[in-house]
Formats: sequence, C-alpha cells, structure tokens
Amino acid sequence: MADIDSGIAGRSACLWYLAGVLAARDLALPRDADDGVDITLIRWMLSLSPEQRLAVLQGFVDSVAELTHDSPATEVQRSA
Amino acid sequence: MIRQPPKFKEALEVLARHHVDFVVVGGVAAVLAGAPISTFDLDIVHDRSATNVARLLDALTDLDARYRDLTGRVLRPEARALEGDGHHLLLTSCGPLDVLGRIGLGRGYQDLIADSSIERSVNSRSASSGWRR
Repeated sequence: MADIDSGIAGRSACLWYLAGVLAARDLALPRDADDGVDITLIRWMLSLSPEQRLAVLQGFVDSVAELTHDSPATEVQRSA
Repeated sequence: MIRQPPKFKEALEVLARHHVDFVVVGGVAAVLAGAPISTFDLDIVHDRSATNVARLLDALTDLDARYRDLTGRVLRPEARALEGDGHHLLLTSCGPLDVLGRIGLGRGYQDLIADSSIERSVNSRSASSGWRR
C-alpha cells in the first residue's frame, strides 16, 4: 500500500479508509466479535504502519473540519 | 484568530525536533497501536527532568502553547510547573495538547517508557530523539 503523508486531503483519506475497510471485509473473516466490535476495522488498522494509522486519524479530523467548516474542532487565538 | 483542525504529526515533529523525551498516551496512542477510534487532542507524558523541561518549553514556544482558559486569558506554561506531576491542558497552533506529568496510578515517564513499543525519529540524524507510545 502506498505510503500516505500528512498532506493528504481529508476527502481522499476517507475514500482510502473506505477502500481499506471494504477490502478487509472481502476477506470473509468474522466481522463482529461477541461484544459487537467490528473486527475488520481492527484488522485493517493493524495492517497499517503506525504512521499510516496516524494519517487515518488526521484524515478523519480533517474531514470533520471540512464538513463543519463553520464550526471547526479547534480555535486558536494568537496572542498579540 | 486561526481556525484549524488538530495536526497530530506536525505537533509530534515539533516536539521531536526539540529532542523532547516523551511518551504518547491516550487516544492517539490507541490509534498508533491500531485501535479504530478517533480523538481530537494529543496527550503526552514528558520526562520531567530540568533539561528535558527546557527542551519542552522551547517546543511549546514554537507551538504557541497556552493554557486552555475559558476566560480568554493567555497563560503560558512555565518550567517550574512542568517539572511537577500535574496536568497541563494546552492549546497550540497544532491543536489541543495535554502535557501530563503523571497519569493513572501515578505513573510518570520513567514508569511508562519500559512498556512503550514504538519509536520514530523525525530524521535519520536524530535517531536518539523521537516520539514514542
């Protein structure tokens, strides 16, 4: 899987995320554990490097910010 | 006023660039370990030695860190406070950053580092520095 960088756009990260989840589900492995946790998500995350996992998280928060651009997750007020 | 989502990797790279010794904990650590969850802040436990706190302060200056103060005051972290075992809930140019002297059961950096399994250097010339979880 191609290396992904922090510069990846949030929307692209989402598509990449969905592609990974769908690919993991195609493996026909048990999907849910007894407690309802989606194992395919965990398997897919574990297939990534730590840096790629961080990029997935970054893609998520970027996507949320993009979708809610009028009320972003973080406001930073610079001091004078 | 700057509006932006958290930038986890950039924050970690600033800390590593200043050779700060720390362990990533909390939600980002869970993601690094493969948990499919999300979080909006970065939590670290830092080495509270005077030399490391000085490096941490330099990094926090680069990150324009200040306490998350609901009244709008700009309160900057100071060395003496960072050498203690309290929690410092900061807002930076890379998003919320919680700098923790100790976490559950009173565990500090030295207690956690033995169980940390990932180390990454920002570049090949700083192999002794990096971020850990």
